[in-house]
Amino acid sequence: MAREDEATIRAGAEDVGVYVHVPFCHRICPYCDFAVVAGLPGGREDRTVSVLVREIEGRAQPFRPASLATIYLGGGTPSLLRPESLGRILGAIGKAFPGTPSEVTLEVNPSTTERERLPAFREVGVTRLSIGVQSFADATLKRLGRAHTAVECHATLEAARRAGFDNLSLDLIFGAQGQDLPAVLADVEAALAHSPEHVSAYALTVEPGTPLAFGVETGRLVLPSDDLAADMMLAVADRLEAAGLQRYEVSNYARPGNEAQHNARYWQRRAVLGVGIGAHSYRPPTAANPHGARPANERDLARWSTRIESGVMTSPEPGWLSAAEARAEAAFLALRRRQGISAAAFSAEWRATPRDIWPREIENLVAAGLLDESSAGDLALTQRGWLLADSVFEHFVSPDAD
Amino acid sequence: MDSSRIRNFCIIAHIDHGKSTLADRMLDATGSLGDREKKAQFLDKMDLEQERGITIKAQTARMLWRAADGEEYLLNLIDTPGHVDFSYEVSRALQACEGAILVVDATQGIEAQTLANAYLAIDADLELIPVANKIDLASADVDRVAQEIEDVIGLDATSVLPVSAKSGAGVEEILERIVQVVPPPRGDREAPLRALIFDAWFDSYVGVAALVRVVDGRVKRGDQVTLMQQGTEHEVHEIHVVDPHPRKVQSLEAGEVGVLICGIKTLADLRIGDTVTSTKHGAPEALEGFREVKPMVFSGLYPVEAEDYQPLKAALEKLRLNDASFQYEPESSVALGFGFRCGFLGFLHCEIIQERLEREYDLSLVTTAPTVRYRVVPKSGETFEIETPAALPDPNDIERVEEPMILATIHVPQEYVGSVMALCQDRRGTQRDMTVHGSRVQIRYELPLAEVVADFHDRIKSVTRGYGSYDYDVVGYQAANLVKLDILVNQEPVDALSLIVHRDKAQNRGTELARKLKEFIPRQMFEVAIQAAIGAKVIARTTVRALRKNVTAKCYGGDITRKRKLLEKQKAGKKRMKRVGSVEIPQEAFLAALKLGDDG
Repeated sequence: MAREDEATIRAGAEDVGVYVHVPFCHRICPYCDFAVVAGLPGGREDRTVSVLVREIEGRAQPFRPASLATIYLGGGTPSLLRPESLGRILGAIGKAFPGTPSEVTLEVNPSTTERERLPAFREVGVTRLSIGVQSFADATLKRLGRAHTAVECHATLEAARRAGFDNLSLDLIFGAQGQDLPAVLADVEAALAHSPEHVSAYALTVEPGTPLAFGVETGRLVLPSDDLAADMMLAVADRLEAAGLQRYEVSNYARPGNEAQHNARYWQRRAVLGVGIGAHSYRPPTAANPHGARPANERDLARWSTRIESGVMTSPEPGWLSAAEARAEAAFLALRRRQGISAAAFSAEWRATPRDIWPREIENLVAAGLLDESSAGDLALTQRGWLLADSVFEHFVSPDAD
Repeated sequence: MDSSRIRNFCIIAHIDHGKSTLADRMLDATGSLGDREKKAQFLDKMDLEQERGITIKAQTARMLWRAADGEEYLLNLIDTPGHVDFSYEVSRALQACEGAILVVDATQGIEAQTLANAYLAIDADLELIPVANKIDLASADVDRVAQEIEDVIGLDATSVLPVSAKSGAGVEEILERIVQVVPPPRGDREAPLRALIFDAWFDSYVGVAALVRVVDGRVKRGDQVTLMQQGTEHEVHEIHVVDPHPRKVQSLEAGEVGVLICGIKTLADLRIGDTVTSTKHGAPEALEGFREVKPMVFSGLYPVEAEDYQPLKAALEKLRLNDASFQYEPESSVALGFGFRCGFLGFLHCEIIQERLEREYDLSLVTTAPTVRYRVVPKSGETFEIETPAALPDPNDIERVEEPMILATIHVPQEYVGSVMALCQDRRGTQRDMTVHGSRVQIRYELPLAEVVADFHDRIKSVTRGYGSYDYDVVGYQAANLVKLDILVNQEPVDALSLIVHRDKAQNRGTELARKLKEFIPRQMFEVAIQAAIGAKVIARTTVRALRKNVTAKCYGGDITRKRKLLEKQKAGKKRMKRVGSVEIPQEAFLAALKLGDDG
């Protein structure tokens, strides 16, 4: 399947996904390095939504005439917005692009207020929820600095089903302080009890500059070893697959047909308009811009608002890609997916097979048991390759000049 | 000036006992320096010398002193290098003098170099003027030190002059004493020219400048002269005296000290200790005591960044212009790339060169473990010498290996004798004798040079809380059970880490090196075996287990650019690593392993 759909995509017939970044968080998680603003939106809500609407209107032009494929409302905590605010945003997107989106995802935290709004969110057009469960163990939630409890997780999942959502995703984190393998598997079991259509299982990542990183550097926090984290990843994958959730990306599992369509756009390098602070867009190649671009927004709420309100719609960082950069991204983003790199689709875009470009690298990675190569030259990560994906990807980029 | 009113003298002292400060006070007292120059230690030319507080190259200065007898005397101060690595240069400088001021810190007492230098001076028949310095300090004990000087060196305690080089107190008394007790230069002004070269340096305008003491005869501008050891002929272009600024003169006569400029292009074309004579009707015999100075300590110097190879080469060329005693030749290492094998007079000399390269030339260097010159007696064929572990043949082809030995003289307060002896035993030392002088003890040990090159001096200082001091003489070669210790990663030898060690120490050393490397080699996609081996026999091993997990959990919109940049950075980092076989080893691993060599 991969071959045809990627070939079609590269051939043109573009559609667009829209990512809306809602920056507010009731509290900021100690491991988070996203563009977020602490506190409830409160008095800032209406102005922020107006700016988002204005940005959608102002920045849609370069993506036209694409039809609307997906919408993703992320953050931050977009479910902190009132349903009518979400309605305004979705309305603006609907006006900016023709067509009906096949997926409208909203990220939700398991809190009481948000839970009560779920039916209303469905009313305004949300079709899929991504619930930030992280764990079903209160001790782990506390260590992760999350505000919610296990009871609220269960309640939110149940409320979502009651509200009629038939496409639920939940996020799990493994590798937190104090977690062992049984604890991680217990979280997986608790998740499976809700029969989710989709699970994202993320290894806790220490991002530089976060409180988590500080804790680890100063030795106040001791996370499970990499070896244990590897065991966790393998065990999580085994269990989810056994339950019929197929691993279709490094951290993502779904029942066939329930793969996240919006997120798949990132790995397939399909057009995405990102609005809100710190949001990134992806503009596929055009004649003027032969290797595509990843424009990035301001990360500061005040600066971003001022910029959009004064009508400046260009991004402060245009993010033009060079051929080598785009090619490297094509390789490592494709390899994150189960399908991997289709040699035919790759050749269609780059006029050379991956083997032509990285002969020695591919040879070594295949020999090292990290990559599988089909007779057609298609490449995919092996079981061990999933665990060492970054060590594999490194071979496809050019070293940084500085 | 009539040679009866010339006095040639030097100042000898243990490091930090105040030699350079005293020299400055003398220049001061004789009105030889302007005020501006007084703030600095005038005789220490290089920044580095000032920082380390030692004098690397001998300098000289002449002063005029109107003595109590009403006559004006010409005092030639000949400065000598202060470290044991430069003892040959010290001995040559002493040859240029008739007297020596022996400076002893009145708060410390006699130290190893005090004694070593005093013996050198006595051997050279110099008149010694003992001085107890730093009397301005509360902890000074002039009487005790004077008694020590009498007991240990045999100079009358009542003749010891109390001085404060810092304040200048007692300096005039020293100048008077010089006039009274230091004999005027002997030497025959009518005999054929014989001048001793006791120092030389490179000047970018005039080429090599040779500091000489005219022993017999005279030399004047325009003369044709011959360097007797070197066998080369030159014309004397310029003659200078230094008082203390260089001043051109027409000639130098027996007894005088000055600088000859003879159009010599590089320092390598001239030897310290050589005799200058007239080409026509020259002296039949050269002055005694000439010795070929050979490097004793060897080490590989490699640029951290490969592109610094050419700058390093240029810097070495430049340094050698001014220091003919260090040698270098290109060398390459699988692990470290292209660099140079360098030979030094001693470990301090090695450190100085390294620091100058890093500081003055802004280079980052990796230095391999210092080694000495071993003598290899093969089962068949002639004995040969090696300066690098790589050159040691297979053990089966070797009859025996001999290593250079030193006789170390160590001075310590009594309470540290035990720890010093333990240190010397650990370094394969054999005790020669022990003499007690009051509360201080002199211990002499015969030790392999290889055991002291890296850090012995520091260790002595540390086990004696800074009160111990040490000096050495090279005393020949001795056979020892020496082996080449190789470090292998996944069966590939890491050439830069090979060492020649005593068999008894190989096990410990190998284990330590393997452990250190393990600490710094990041986990790779496969298991990395680190082994220490003698020939084919593995004596220590450890492993860096294969990396199991290295994956970014999330990679959506905003993560992609960042992720790509991280991957690029990660790859650039790997590119800077050295590859031995397929194993990537970061520079820090080498630095740490080589540092371990220093720690012993």
